[in-house]
Amino acid sequence: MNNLLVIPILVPLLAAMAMVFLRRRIYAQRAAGAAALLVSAAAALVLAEQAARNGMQTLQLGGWPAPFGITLAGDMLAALLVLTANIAGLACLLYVFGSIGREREAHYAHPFLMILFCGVNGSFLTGDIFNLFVFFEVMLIASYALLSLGGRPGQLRESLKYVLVNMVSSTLFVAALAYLYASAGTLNMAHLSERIAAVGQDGPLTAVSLLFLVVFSLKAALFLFFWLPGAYGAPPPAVAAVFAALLTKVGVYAILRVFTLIFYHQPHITHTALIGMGAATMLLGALGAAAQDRIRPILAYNVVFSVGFAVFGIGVGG
Amino acid sequence: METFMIVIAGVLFSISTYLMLTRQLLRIILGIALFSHAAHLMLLAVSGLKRGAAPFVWERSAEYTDPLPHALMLTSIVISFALTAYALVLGYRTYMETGFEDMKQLKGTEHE
Repeated sequence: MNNLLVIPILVPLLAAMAMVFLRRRIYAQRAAGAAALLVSAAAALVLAEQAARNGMQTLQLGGWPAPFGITLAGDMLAALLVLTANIAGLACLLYVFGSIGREREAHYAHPFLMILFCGVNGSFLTGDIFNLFVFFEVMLIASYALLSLGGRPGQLRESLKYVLVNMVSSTLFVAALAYLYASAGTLNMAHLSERIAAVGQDGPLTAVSLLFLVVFSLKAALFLFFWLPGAYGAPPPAVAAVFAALLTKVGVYAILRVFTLIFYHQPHITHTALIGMGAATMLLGALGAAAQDRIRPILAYNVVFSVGFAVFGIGVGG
Repeated sequence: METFMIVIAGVLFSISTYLMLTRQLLRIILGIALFSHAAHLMLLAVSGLKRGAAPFVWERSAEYTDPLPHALMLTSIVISFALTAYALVLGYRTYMETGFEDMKQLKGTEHE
């Protein structure tokens, strides 16, 4: 039991709630945002040190024992990812202050950014796969609001497509969770890993794992990246930088967790699919970037092929 | 009963897929709403319907119904309800700003 695990989730959320009441005081909002990210980064640093010394840190929320309650789990990977995400977020936030404009800052851009960080940190730290879905949604809902904030026609059009694509993939996530719960009877990731290792990963479970792959590929822009260049071109550059640094990477992290912890028994199917999709993403992303003549789409396609590289590594190494 | 509900979920999945593949914005949003209903119905049905007593301490029974799928479904319903409302508002605003509700016209232009 380590209460430090909840700090990177709780602090940005509390900061967001405080910011809603400080709507007109933009400087107070900026200070609260930077402070919240610094606190979560510091908590992640201490957590990484503890994970290096004592192994994985866990927290059973509400005191419910492990397979029944919601577990937060912080190993070295999760702690380092939270640390990196918060440092990258802080750098983007400093740029957000000067560039997105007073109008957006007065219309809750800062609280939405904090909710986004709450969702990202939560996705990294959760040890329960349904809770991963909930934190994904927290993060995505904040990103929908940030994308459409401002309301220019082009921006609304692109955020509408982004929202619709992500709603479909979230619903597929629920369907995949239903299949997984029906066949394994648990949603705790460590417990799932044990049970699937015990009964073996047969055909239906592999099919469920491929459904998870489709869901996470839509979120991570792995091969199914058709929505990304438009959506990342719509918001102000600083907000697009936050999205590029964090949103797709959470999808990659989910792929990494699911295919190294739970579904690793049939690598000739799942990991071959990962390698193929990663390779296709690298090639198509690079070709897409080469075909553009404006800087923003080129940068958006850079996000796409970096995802390809990351997932290719998971496929080869896993 | 489970079989019946699975069939209903399948019918809902196919109707919603049909709606999502049309071009009008409103139909797509309705399709996604139906899609989430189908997923929730499936979540409830695949983990088994009433198998025993309600999971309370005072219900003395040999078997209890698993409450977890209901909790999951409730969370998911809340999320999809909020998102459907948001998508409807966003679609309405997009229609007011651009004047289009056909996805073909909402494709965007090369240089704007």
